[in-house]
Amino acid sequence: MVGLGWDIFWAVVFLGALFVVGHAILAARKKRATPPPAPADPDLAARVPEKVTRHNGSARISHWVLALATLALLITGFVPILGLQFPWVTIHWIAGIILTGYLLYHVVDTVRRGTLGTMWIGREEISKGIERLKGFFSKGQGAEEKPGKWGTENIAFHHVTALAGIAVIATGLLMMFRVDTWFWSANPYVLGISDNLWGWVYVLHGVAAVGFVGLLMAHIYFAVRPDNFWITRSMFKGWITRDEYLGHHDPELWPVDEGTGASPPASARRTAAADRAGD
Amino acid sequence: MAQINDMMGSFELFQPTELDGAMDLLRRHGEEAWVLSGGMDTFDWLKDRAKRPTVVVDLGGIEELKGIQADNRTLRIGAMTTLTEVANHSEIRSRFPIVAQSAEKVATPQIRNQGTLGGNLCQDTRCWYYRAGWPCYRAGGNTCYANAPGALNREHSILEANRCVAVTPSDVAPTLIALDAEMEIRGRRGTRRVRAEDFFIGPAIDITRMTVLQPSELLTAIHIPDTWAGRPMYFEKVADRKAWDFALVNVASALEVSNGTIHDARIVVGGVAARPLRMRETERAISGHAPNDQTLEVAAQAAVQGARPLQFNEYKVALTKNLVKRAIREARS
Ligand SMILES: Cc1cc2nc3c(=O)[nH]c(=O)nc-3n(C[C@H](O)[C@H](O)[C@H](O)COP(=O)(O)OP(=O)(O)OC[C@H]3O[C@@H](n4cnc5c(N)ncnc54)[C@H](O)[C@@H]3O)c2cc1C
Repeated sequence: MVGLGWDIFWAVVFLGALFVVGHAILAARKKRATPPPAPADPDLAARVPEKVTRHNGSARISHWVLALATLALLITGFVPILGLQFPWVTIHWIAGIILTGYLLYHVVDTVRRGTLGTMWIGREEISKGIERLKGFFSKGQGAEEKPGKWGTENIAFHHVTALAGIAVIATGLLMMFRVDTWFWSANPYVLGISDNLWGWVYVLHGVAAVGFVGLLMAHIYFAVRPDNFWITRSMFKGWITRDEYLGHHDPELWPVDEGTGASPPASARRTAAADRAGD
Repeated sequence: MAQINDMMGSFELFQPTELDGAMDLLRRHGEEAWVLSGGMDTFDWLKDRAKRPTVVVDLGGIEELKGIQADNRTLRIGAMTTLTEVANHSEIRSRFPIVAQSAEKVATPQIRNQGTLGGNLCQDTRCWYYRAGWPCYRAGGNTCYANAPGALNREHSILEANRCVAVTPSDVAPTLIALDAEMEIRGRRGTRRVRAEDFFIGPAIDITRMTVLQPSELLTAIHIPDTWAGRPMYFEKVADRKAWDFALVNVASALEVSNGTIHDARIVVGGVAARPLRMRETERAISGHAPNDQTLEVAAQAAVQGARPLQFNEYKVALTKNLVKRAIREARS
């Protein structure tokens, strides 16, 4: 075993395209059946500022760094296989290092801000996710429960991406020892890994990489959908409007600071949630 | 792994008599098709069954790919012209003697009678691990057996290795780069021309190919411009034996010299990397200088800058330096 057969790349592109087309058709049908949302409770609306911060500056910068690194990795990884020749190896490992740096930053930042829990998928999130899915597939309007900042589908997407990311980084770092870099000369015998194990490393790297192709297709598709424009805009500008906030999110699950529109620190959110639970 | 059993696997053989017909076949069969010129490299692969094409397209019957035409600005050599014809052609001998010399240094008279210029330029590397069918990087695998401890890598690269350490085998390629020749390539979208220097690629660009040719593309001709005709030039090949053997290192140069000063130079070394390497640092270092001992020393040093010899080919560093010096000092009109 020496690596992944690249025909799988085309299979993933095909499946990704199928998903995009299928979703677009279902979403169009759903949109016709759904009446405009009811106006929000005026009392509640009065407590929400005009602009609610969805992604602060550092989150936006790190997202775009991640996006650039991923694009560079996919282009340098797949375009030469598709026949366009250019010296790709150096750009590829540099982009890989940036991706690794991003991952480390993201983990440290998440731990520091104490927001690890927002990515938890528990029983409640699963049942809400199922409800939302049922609502999406149902012909009628469906009683859709609003999520907090992240819906179950967002969290699941995050976890699959994280898994693919960790696989691609771990295997990529090992593979980096086999090429000349600014830090070391190539050493094909690093850690005494057997040929067979190297085969698995290459296969896993390939699987994770083609997985990224599918994930990226879905991610870009959702980002360019007109009904998601408000989220995409927030990745540039940082904020969403009061109406978007109240229309798409449950303020109980994602409370925002009345003055600034920013999410309060996680500890404060936990206390607020506990208070509500005690009400 | 290769099976040395002198029997080729079965394939469908096509023998078109026109270029368009050959192009059609290549388009139709894509990666499954193998181009056959003189067969001197091809039959090794097929007999050893290290490559197993299902279709072979023999260019031998296509007259328009054969022959040499000269006018006073360029010389056009058809890809199917044999190496013997190239070596003996009077125009080539008088205007571009290093092309004739390098063709004459290839293998043996029998191989030169049968082998074509196109085949010589498109031939695959001679790394024995690769040719023996080991699943190395170049064969689509994930390791280089020639760069393992104790591996037989006396003939392998000292420069520009990138995972794979195989070297370019052609003797004629460096001379064509030195003379700024162009490769005429026929593909799906018609004909394009690529500078000889850009025709050959290293493993950093594509570890499984030696040239920019894509499946279903053909090298149809080589054009040598008159730019360097009559100027001092030089070719030398160092091999273990005078015949049969591939170059350990070869060098080609073309210089523009007046009043004892080098004004322009093109120096190309083969056998040290996966592609024939133009020694740009060397060329820069000698331009504007007289070819004296000091210049030669600087030139030689520049040629091996960044060299990373393998376990058994340290000697190539000294050899390259000496050949580069000779290519400057001994270049003759
Ligand atoms: C014993 C031995 C010693 C040798 N020593 C030397 C040496 O010292 N120096 C040296 O330079 N060479 C040497 N060679 C290599 C020899 O010169 C080449 O094998 C020969 O020139 C290849 O030419 P061919 O016409 O036989 O091509 P083939 O063997 O038919 O083809 C070679 C490769 O090029 C491809 N190809 C051929 N023509 C075209 C084309 N027009 N367009 C696209 N692809 C094409 C083929 O598909 C194949 O992959 C030696 C070979 C042998 C067997």
